[in-house]
Amino acid sequence: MSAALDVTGLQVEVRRGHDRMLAVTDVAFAVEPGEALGIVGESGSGKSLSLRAVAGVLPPGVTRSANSLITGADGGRMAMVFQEPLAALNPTRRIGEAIADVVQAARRCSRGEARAAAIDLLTEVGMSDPVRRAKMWPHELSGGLRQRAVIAMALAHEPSVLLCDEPTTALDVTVQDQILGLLDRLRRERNVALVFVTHDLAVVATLCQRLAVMYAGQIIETGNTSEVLRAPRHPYTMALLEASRTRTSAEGARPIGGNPPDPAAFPAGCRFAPRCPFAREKCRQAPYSLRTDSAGRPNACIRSDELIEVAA
Amino acid sequence: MSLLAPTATTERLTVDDLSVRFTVGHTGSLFRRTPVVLKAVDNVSIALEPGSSLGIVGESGSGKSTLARAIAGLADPTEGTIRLGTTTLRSRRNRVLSRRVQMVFQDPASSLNPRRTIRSMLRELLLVHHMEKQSTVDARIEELVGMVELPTSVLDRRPRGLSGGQRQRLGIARALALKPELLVLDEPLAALDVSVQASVLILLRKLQAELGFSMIFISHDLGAVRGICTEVAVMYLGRIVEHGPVRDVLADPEHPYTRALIAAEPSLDNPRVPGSSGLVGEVPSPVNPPSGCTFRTRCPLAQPACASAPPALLAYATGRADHRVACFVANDEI
Repeated sequence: MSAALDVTGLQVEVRRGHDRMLAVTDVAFAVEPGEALGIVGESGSGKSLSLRAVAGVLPPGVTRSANSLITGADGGRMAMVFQEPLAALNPTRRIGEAIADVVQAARRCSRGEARAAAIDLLTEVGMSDPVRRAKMWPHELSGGLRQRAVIAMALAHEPSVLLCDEPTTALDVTVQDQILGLLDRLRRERNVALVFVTHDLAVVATLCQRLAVMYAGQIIETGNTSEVLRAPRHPYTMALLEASRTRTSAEGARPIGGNPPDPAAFPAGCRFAPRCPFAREKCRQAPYSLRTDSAGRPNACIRSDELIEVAA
Repeated sequence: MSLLAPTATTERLTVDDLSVRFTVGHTGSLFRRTPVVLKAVDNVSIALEPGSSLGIVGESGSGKSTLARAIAGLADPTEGTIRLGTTTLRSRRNRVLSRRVQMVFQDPASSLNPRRTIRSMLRELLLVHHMEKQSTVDARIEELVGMVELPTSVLDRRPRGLSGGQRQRLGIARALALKPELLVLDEPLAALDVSVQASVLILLRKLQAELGFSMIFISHDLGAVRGICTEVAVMYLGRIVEHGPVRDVLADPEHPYTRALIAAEPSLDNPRVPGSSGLVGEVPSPVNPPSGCTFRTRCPLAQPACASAPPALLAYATGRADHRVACFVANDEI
C-alpha cells in the first residue's frame, strides 16, 4: 500500500528582518490511507508551520526549502481544516453556496448539481437540517457547526489527506468530542488519511493511531500512539506527558524548566539539552536527529537506551 | 511586618440569588419595542469559605465568565447580593473594597499596559492604592516579581517582550499586589502551553497556601479544576446544575450534564472512541432557553415533567449536604 502522503526533508525558512532562519528542519512523516497521525508540540515547535508548508499555505516571509519532498497517492489531494473556522469561511457567502463553489472548482458540474452536492456534504458531516442551514451565513452558526461546514468544504475537494490544524482547540469539550467523532468516521468511511496538529496529547490519544512529537523544529519522537504514551523514550516526551498528567493531580511535580529555544538560537547539539535533566556533555556536541534505538523506537535522544536501563 | 505577610483576614464570600441580564436588542415595531433579554446568570447562590478554591466549569454561554465578572465588580448584577463577610459588594466599589477582590484574565497581555514597563506599571498600582510609600515601593515590586518566580530583569521590559507564561505570572503578581482576599481567575491557563500550565498551577497552589486568599477559578478544563480546586460548580445556561467537593462531583457526578462533560473530556490514559460522549447538539440560545430544566433538550434522562419547572439545587439523593444537584431524575422527584 502506498502512503497517502509522504513528506521527507521538510525545511521551512523564516525571514525576520535581514536574518533567515530554519524554523523547521528535516521533518519527515508519512500517513497511510485511513490512518490518523497526530503531530504534537508546544507553541513555537514548528508543528503548524510544518502542516502549512505541506499544504502550501505559508504566511508571507516564510518559505519551504526547495529540497523538501512531498508526494502522495492520487496526486496527493489535500484539504486543510483550520483552528478558526470563521476565518476559513467567506462572510459574504451563504455556506451552501460557498461549498457549491468548491464543488464546481473541483469537478465539472452544473450549479444545481453543485448545490445538491453541498447539501449531501453537509448531511455527511452531521449537520442536522442541512437544507435550511445551507442558506445560513457563517456568522449565524455556532463554532461547532462552522467547523462542520469547513470540514464539508474540505471534503468537496475529495481529498485523500485531510490536514487539520488544531481544529478543536477553540471548541467546548462536548463539541470537540463531536468533531473528533466526525473526523474519525470520515477516516474510516472515506479511507481518508488525517494529519492532526495539536498541543493536546489527550486528543491524540483519542483520535490518532500514530504520533509524532515536535520540539524546536524537529520531530524528536514518533511511533504508535499507545506505545509512545505508555513508555516514552525521549526526555521531552516524558516531560510533556508529566506536565499533562500533573495538571490534573493535586500533588505538584516538577515542570519543565526554561523555555523552548528561538529558531534564531537553536542549540548546536541536542536542542532539548539545555532543559534536559539527563543531558551529558556528549549531548551538547553534535546535532542529533531521529534514529531507531535498540528497542526499535524512533527518537532523537542518544541516551534513550541508557535512560531506560536507569529507570528499570 | 514582613512584606510577604498574608492578607490580614480572608472573609467568607456569599452570593445570594444573583442574576445578571443583558438587553441584547429589540423586537417588535418602531413604536412597540420589546427588549430582548439575555439571562447570562440566573439566580445563582454560592458560599465560599475563607481560603478555599471554587472551580466554575461549563461550556461557552454557560454564564461562568459573567458570574466571575459580577463577583469582581466588572458586571452589574440585575438582582441579588454579593457579600464578603458582612460587607456588601456592589459593582461600583471604592478603592478599599475593590482591593479585596482582584481578577486575573485569560489574556494577560490585554490586562497589562503595552506602553509601560512592568516596573512603572506595578509602581503606579502600588502608589495609587497607597499600598506602599515611595521609600518602600521598589522593594515591594521586586518582592512581588520574586513571589511569582520571575527574575527581576523582567521589570524593565514591556509586556510584549515577555512570554505568555511570564505575562500570566505578572497578571497574578498585579492582582496579588493589592493583597486581595479573593482572587477571581477567568480561564487563566487557556492561552498557555501544557508545560507552562502545569507550572502556573503549581505556583497558584503555593501562593494560596502561603497567603491564604480564596480563589474562584473559571475554566472549561476539568483537568485544571481537579488540579487546583477544593470544590466545583457546574453551570449550564446561567444556572448552577451541580455543586460540591471536587472529589465527589468529578469522581461521582449526579447531574447528566456533569456526566456528559466528564465523558467528553479526552483522556490520556484511557482514551475512548471519539464521539462517544453521547451529548448531541449544542447549548441552546440563552435568549430563549427551554422551559423548566434548561438541559432537558440535550438530556438522555429527560422526562415530560422536566419541562414544567426549573429543578432546585438540592442535596436529597446524594445523601451529602455539601453535594447538591439540580435534576428531578437524580433527586428522585419524578
